[in-house]
Amino acid sequence: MSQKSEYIQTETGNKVSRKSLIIGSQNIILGGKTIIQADCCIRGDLRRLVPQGQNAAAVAIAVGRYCFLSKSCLLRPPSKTYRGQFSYYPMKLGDHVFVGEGSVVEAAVIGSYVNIGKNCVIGKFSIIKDCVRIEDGTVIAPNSVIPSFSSVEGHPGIVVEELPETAAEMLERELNHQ
Amino acid sequence: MSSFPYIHISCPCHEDRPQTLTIDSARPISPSKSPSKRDFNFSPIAPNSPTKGRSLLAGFTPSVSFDAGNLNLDSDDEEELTDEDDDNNFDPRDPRSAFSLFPIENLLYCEDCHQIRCPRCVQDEIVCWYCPSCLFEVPSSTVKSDGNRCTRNCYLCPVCTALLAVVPVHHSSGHSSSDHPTGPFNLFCSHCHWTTSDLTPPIQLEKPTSISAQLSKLTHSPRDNEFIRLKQHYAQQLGNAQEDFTNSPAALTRLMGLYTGLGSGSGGHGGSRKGRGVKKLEMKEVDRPREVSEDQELDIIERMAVEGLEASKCIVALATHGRKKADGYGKATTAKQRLAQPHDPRFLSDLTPTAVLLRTKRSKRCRACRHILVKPEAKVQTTRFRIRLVALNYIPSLTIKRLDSSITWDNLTPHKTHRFLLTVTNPLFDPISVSLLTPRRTPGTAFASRVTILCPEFDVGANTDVWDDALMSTKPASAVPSGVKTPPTTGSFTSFSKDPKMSTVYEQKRNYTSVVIEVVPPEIPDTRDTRIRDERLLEIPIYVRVEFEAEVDRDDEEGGGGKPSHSGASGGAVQRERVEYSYWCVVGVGRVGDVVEGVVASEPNTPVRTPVGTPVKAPRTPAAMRTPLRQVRS
Ligand SMILES: [Zn+2]
Ligand SMILES: [Zn+2]
Ligand SMILES: [Zn+2]
Ligand SMILES: [Zn+2]
Repeated sequence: MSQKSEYIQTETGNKVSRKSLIIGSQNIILGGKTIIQADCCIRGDLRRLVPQGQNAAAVAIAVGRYCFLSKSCLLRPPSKTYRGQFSYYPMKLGDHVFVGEGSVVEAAVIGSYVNIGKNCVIGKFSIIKDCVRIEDGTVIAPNSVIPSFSSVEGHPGIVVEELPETAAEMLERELNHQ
Repeated sequence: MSSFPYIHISCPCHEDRPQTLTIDSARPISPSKSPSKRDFNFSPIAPNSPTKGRSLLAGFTPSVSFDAGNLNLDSDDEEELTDEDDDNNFDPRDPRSAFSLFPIENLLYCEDCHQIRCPRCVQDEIVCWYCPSCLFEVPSSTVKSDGNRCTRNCYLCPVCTALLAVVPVHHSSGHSSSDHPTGPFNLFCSHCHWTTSDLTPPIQLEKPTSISAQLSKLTHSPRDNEFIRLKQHYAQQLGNAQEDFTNSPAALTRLMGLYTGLGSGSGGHGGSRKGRGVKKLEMKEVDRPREVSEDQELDIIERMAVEGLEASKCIVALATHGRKKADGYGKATTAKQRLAQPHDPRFLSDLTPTAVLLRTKRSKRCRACRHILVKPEAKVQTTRFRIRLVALNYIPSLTIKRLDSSITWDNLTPHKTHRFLLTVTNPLFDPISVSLLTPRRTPGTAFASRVTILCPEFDVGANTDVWDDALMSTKPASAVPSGVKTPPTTGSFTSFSKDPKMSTVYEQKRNYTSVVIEVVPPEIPDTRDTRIRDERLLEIPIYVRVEFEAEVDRDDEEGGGGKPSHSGASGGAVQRERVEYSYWCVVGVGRVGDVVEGVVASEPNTPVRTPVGTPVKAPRTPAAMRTPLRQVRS
C-alpha cells in the first residue's frame, strides 16, 4: 500500500509522485490525468526573462492530458542568447505524450501521441509533431523538426520509418502498456 | 526483427495458389486420448456451407468438412498422419511468408473486396509534397522542375545529417546589443559542430536568408554542368518523340520499345515491330565518356598519401605516447557520407551541405477494385484523414501475454509447458464467434514445438461504447455473450467442440475474450546449422476464423457489409446475415533457450475440468511451477 501514498492526486486527476522534483510549480500547467513518476524533474523556474515593467510570461512548461513522465526524466525549457540577452523559452507538450526513463527534454513543442523512449535527448528548441515515435537512446539535434508519422532513431536522430495511418492508436496503446 | 512477442497477420495476397490445409490440434483437450482426435480438411472449393455465408476473403475461403475416415483411426496411426500433413499448414518459415506478414496496424481493409490489404496490394498516389523540416508544401510543378529537395533554407550536415543552423561567423560579444547580426554567415551543425567554414575553400554567406540561391552559386561544380547537359539532352530526346508517358499500356509498350528500337539500327529484331503500328522511336544515348582530369586525380592521390602518412604517425603516437584517439584517415569520408553527395567527395573538406529531401502525403487505393482506402487531408501539418479504412477497425486483433511472469520471452525453457494468454479483441458492433486453429506441432522445422489452445472456440462481445455497456448490464443475459459456447447446432465447422467441459475461457470483458495457449518447446541444439536457420525462433501460426450476424441493407448488398453498425436501417429492408471470414496470423512467442537441468519432457496438457457453461479462470499456478525447475532455482 506504500504505492498508493507515493502519488499525490490533483483536482484534474494528475498523479504526481512525492519523490519527483517539481520546481516553480506556479509556472507549470498539467492538463489532467497525467502521471509523473519518481525522480522526475520539471524546471518550471526556468522561465522567460521579460523587461521590467511588463507582466511576466506565466507559463514555463505546459503539459497536456494523459501524459506519462517516467522515472528520472527531465523537462527543462530551452534557452538561448538572443540579441545579447540570455533567456529561457516556454515548452509545450500535447496529449498522450510518453517520456521514457532518464530522457532529457528541451524541446520547444511536442505534439500529441508522441512516444519518447528511454535515455533520449531531445535537443533545444526542437519541434516534434503529432504521431511520432522516438526509439530508445535517440539524440535529437537542437532546432530539429520531426514531422508527423515518423519513427526516429540514432545520433543524431533521423527518420528511419514512416508510421502507418494507425499511428495514433498504436502510440496510445504503447503508452497505456507502459 | 521486432521484439517479442509480436503478432503478424498474413495478407490474403499470399494465397495465390490453391491449397489444402490440415489442422488438428486446435480442439478441446481430451484427457482420454483417442476418439476426439480429428483432422479437418480445408479445401478451397467455393463454400457450400449450410450457413448462407458471405465470404469476406473471397480468395481464401476454406469450407470445413469432417474427414469421417480419420475418426475411426486408432491413436498410433494418427500421430504419424498428422505429422506428415504439417506441410499443408501456413508455414511462417517459408521464405514466401515474410512478404505477406504484417502487424495489424500496417494493414488496410477494402470494404468492396471484403479483404485485408497490405502495403503490397495497395497503390500509393501522392497528395502533396512537403519539406519535413520547414513543413512547407512544395507544388508538384516545382518538384518536377527543381527536384525533390527543399529549395528554402533547409540543409543537413554532410557529416552527421543533423539540421544546419545559420549563424554569424564572428560572434558578436554580448555587450553590443545590435539588433541585427551582421554577416558573413556560415551554416553550423549544432550536433557535431561542423561548419561550412571547415571547407576548403570555406563557404561563407552574405545573407542569413535565401540559402539555396547563395549556395548553388558557391558550390557549383563541373558535375552540375554535366548533369544539366544530360538533362537537356534527354529532355530533347523525349521532346522529339512528343509522347506523354502516362501509365497506359500503349505508352508502356512505346517506352519498352525505346531501347529495342535503338537495337534495330544494327539489324536486331526491331524490324519486325514496324508493321505492328508501334511508332518507332530512336533514343540516342549520350555517348561521351566521363571526363577525368589527370591533375585532379593526381591531387587526390597525393592528398590520400599525406593522409596515410599522418595515419601511420598516429599509430606510432598511439603506441608510444598512449594517445587516446588515433584520427588517422579521419579526414576521409565514409561510404555513407560519400554516397549522399552527387560529386563523390573523398575528403571531409569536400563535403557540401545537403538540401533536405522532400516527403509526401499519399492516398492509397485497393489494387483490385481501385477504391480509395486512405486519403489524408491535403494540409501538410494535419494528421487527419478523409478516408481511413484500416484493418484495426474491421478484423479482430490478437494479443498475447505471459500467464506466468517468470517466463522470459527470449529464453524459453525446453520441455517446460509455457502458458500464455491469447486475447481476441472485437472492433465490430456485433458480437462474434471465434475459432482459433493451430497445428499441433509448429510447422517448417525439424524442432517442432507442441502447441495447444485450451479453448479454441468462444464468443467475443460487441464493441459497444461504455454507455451501451451500462444499458446492457440491466438487460437479461441473452444480449451478453455467454462465456462458453454451447454445443453447436448449425454449421459443420462448429461441430468440432464436442466436449465443452474442457473449454475454458480465461477472461471475458466487454469486447475481448482471453484464452490460454500452452507451448512446449523442444530441445534445440546450438549448432551452426540451427543458428543459420534460426531454429530457436518460436513462431506459432494460428488460423483465426470469425463468424457473426450482421445487419445488412439488402438494397446495397455489395457495399454495406464490411462494417455493420447498429444504425444500419437506412430505408431498405434490413436483414440479419451470417458473415464469416478467416485469416492466418503468426505469433512470435520468443526464442528457445538452453536446456535447464531437471526439466524433463512431460505431458503437455493439464486439462482443466470445469462445469458446463461456467467461465472459469485457469489455475494461477500452472503445473510447470511444480516441476523440478523451480526446486533447482529456489
Ligand atoms: Zn497483400
Ligand atoms: Zn524546407
Ligand atoms: Zn553535424
Ligand atoms: Zn478492393
